[in-house]
Amino acid sequence: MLEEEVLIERLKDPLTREASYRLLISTHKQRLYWHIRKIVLNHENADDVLQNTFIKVFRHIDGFKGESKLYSWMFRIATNESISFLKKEAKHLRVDMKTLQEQRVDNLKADVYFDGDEIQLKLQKAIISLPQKQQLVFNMKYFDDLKYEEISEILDTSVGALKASYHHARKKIELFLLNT
Amino acid sequence: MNSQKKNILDELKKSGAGFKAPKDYFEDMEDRFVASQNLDKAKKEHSKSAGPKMPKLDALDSIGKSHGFTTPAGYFEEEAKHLVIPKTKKIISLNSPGLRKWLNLSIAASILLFFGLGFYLSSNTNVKMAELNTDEIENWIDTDLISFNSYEIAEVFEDVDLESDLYSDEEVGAYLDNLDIEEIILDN
Repeated sequence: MLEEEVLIERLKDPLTREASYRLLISTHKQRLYWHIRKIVLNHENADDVLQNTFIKVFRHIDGFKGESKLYSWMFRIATNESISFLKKEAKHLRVDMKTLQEQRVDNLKADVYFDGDEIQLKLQKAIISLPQKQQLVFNMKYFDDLKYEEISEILDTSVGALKASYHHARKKIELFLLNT
Repeated sequence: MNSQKKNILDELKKSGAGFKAPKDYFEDMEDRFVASQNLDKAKKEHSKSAGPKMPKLDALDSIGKSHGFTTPAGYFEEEAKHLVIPKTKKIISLNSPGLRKWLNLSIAASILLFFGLGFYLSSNTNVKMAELNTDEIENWIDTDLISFNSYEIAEVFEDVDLESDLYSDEEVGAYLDNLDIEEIILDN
């Protein structure tokens, strides 16, 4: 695989731009898609948000200073895009974020691209009962197995705070599963 | 029980979140994304504008600026015939001698009416307190038409030394108990 610096340089060069962009997509498409999917829950919306994420990455690559890893920067863009999407949707439907997420989890029962059983559905309900940032931390740590250092770069939060956040999130989810 | 639930969480982790993507969704993603984004244009548009633009503008670009509406043949050539031009009316000048005479009369009548009504109303509102019914005064007070604060009341009794021990608490209490409010209102 190409070194990040080389890939970034090639993305900026008009002659190598398209090939590098294809490489960027193929390298990160799956991880970014599943990260987005766990936030927006629905496949069609995840597809739109993923496209928007890649477009933003491409358009802003000139401004990427290399202070963090490229994939951390892309994850951050994907996270922001996903939350912006949910906020817009909530505004459009004139409901708050919590209500919107509850509706989206309820819709999973009839979603052809969700094959989770009752307990997996319950887990999704437990996740959306958490504050927004804890939801992100839990998803990235529990499902994606990202290191705290990586999550720290993505969410711009200290490792200590993330550990505490994940611990609280896990406890709350266990309680939710126990009591419902 | 708690550790049992932890095991359930660990079990769930193995089976994933339960989401799936359409078959072959990831296969042609590069082609789809590159085709829909027109990279050179996206880059050029971004460098022109201050903030990033959302994708799918290319779909709008392909439509172009045509709005799709048409008009009947020859509509604009015949347009003048359809237009109804309103008839112009004669303009009356404010400087004409007849109008000026009426204006002067109106001004004089307005002044007379203003002073006459003022005199009539002021002469009718001069009602003496003694002529008022007690119930009317009480109603007026009850409906909050007047309100005094303690400082305003104290100003009326400036000559009274409220700090002195002129009256005992019992005397003041007895006075207030026997107070006839109607009498005070009529006296003042």
